[in-house]
Amino acid sequence: MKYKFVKGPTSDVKFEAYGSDANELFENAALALSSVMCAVRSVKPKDSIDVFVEGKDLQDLLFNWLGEVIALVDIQCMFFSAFKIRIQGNKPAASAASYKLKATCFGEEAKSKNSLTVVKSVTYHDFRLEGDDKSGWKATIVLDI
Amino acid sequence: MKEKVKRINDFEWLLPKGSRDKMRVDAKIIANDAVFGALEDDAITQLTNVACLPGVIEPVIGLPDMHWGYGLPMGAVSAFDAEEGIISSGLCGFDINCGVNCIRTNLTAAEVRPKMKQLVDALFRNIPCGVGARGKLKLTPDQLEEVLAKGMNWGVKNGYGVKEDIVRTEDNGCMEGADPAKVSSLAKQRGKDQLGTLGAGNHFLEIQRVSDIIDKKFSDSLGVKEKDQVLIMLHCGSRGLGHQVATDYLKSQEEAVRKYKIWIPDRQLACAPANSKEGQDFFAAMKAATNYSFTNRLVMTQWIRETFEQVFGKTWQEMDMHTVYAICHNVIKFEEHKIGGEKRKVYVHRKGATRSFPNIPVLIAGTMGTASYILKGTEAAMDKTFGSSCHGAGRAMSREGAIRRFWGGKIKEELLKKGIESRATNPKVLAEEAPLAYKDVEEVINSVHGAGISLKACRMEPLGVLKG
Repeated sequence: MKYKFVKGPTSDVKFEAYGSDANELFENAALALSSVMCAVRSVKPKDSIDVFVEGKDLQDLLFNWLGEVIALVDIQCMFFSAFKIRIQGNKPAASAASYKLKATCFGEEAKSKNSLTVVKSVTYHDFRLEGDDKSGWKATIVLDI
Repeated sequence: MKEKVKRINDFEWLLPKGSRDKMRVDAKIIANDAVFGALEDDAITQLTNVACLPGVIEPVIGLPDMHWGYGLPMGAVSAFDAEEGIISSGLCGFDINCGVNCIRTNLTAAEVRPKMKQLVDALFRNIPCGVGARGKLKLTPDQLEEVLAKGMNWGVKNGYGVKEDIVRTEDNGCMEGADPAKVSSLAKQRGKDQLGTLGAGNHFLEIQRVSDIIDKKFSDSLGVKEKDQVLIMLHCGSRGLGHQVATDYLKSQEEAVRKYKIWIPDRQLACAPANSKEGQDFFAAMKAATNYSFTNRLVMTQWIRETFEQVFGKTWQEMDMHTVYAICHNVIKFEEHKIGGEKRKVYVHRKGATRSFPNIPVLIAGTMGTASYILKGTEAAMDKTFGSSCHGAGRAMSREGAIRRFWGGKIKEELLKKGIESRATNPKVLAEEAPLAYKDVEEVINSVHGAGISLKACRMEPLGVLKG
């Protein structure tokens, strides 16, 4: 399972995303986020954009990555239905940006028929990243919509 | 936590400060019995979170539309001491200056109904809405800076709206002290092409008819003179720019919490000392985002006027399409209030709450298909709730729950049976905003009226709805 929506605050959306490694987790979390904003199954992955995101640790990287996806929808007027992530860095936070990722986001121009809900932000409420490459990864995210 | 709440009277309830560990002040809830009975325990517990923050002034307020949110409930007001208190992005909400504009007309429901489909279709074409929608305005960097600094003054200077719109807006459509330099380049990138867009979710444009006039004198003073008069309500915020400002400063306040060693009960309540550089930088950026939102709604107001001109063949001035009033309901203000018998300036955080100052309009937009209200602000609100009232009906059902339970196509049919024409970018939007997903707005309004914090002036019902 890539992600599932769970009970959360009444006016917001909460989901859990999963991955066998951190890259897959980050891809699936972005897919879950995207599925709130658009009818993701109807979005063709015909165009792509590369983005680079930094974070002081893996949790911070995830928060910043999902925030980047939200911003991209506004800036590019695109919806995204697939992501390819490569995370670099696994050292303890010795500097402001110990973790970096390169993401390729696949999608197409935002069409109103695919438009669902504006996501205002990822929140810190119940925000969790758990697991490892051995047992698998899970993230818990609450979105303000 | 609900079991610890004590009744004060028919409309006010007390949650004493001993109800949980680290609670510094009492919390108070404004609600009649019907509303109180339906309040979520989680929402009440979250109210106590706010009561734990440094410099918080008694009481923390929960309004009758309050519901479980992220760290604190939507529908909450809290005030903080200027020297000892904090300022918090989370206590304002991500959609900075989400608010409501109300525009009147001299048209009647009988005149508008025959053209309602044409009108809603024309508005849908003229007002960009929906996720990822392209805006019609592309601001240069200098223009955006001016919008952030000067708010509605930029709009009027550039042909959007008139001076009277400014006078009829909270803070005259521009919070002084906004600093565009405190707004990140990412926020500006998001905002430069979004001015004049409606967004999506619970944002909407609604054409309404006056169903009841309760306070004739006050309604008259606003140009709302008779039943069946057509009004328009526009509910929208600061779009991607404001959301990004709130997110940027949530992150910076997370750092501040560690730097200033502030204990917070929920990470989402990250904050900074109000008089710190971090606190004041956020305040200046929040003001800029507030100004963007005021201008966003002004631009759409002008396009609504032009759309009515196209459909009815008269100028908007001939149709008396003037602003009744325009308000914020997610914002932080530095206001003077009487506390412990003396006047003090405090940081009032309203998250899903409307300012309710004596004799100033309070606009409550109901949910899709239900009533909206104009109320009058009161002195009692200054005494009880830091000059605040509710902002809407408040959700009773989660969005997933609503989408599972309701089908957008059926909602559209049901609205049409009630004589309400609707347009949305996607049927799911109608489902998640179905009337039954919200509390009963009449009980919410009865609660604030009964508590005396804002008094009913007139009631409106929808004729046509446009949603992103």
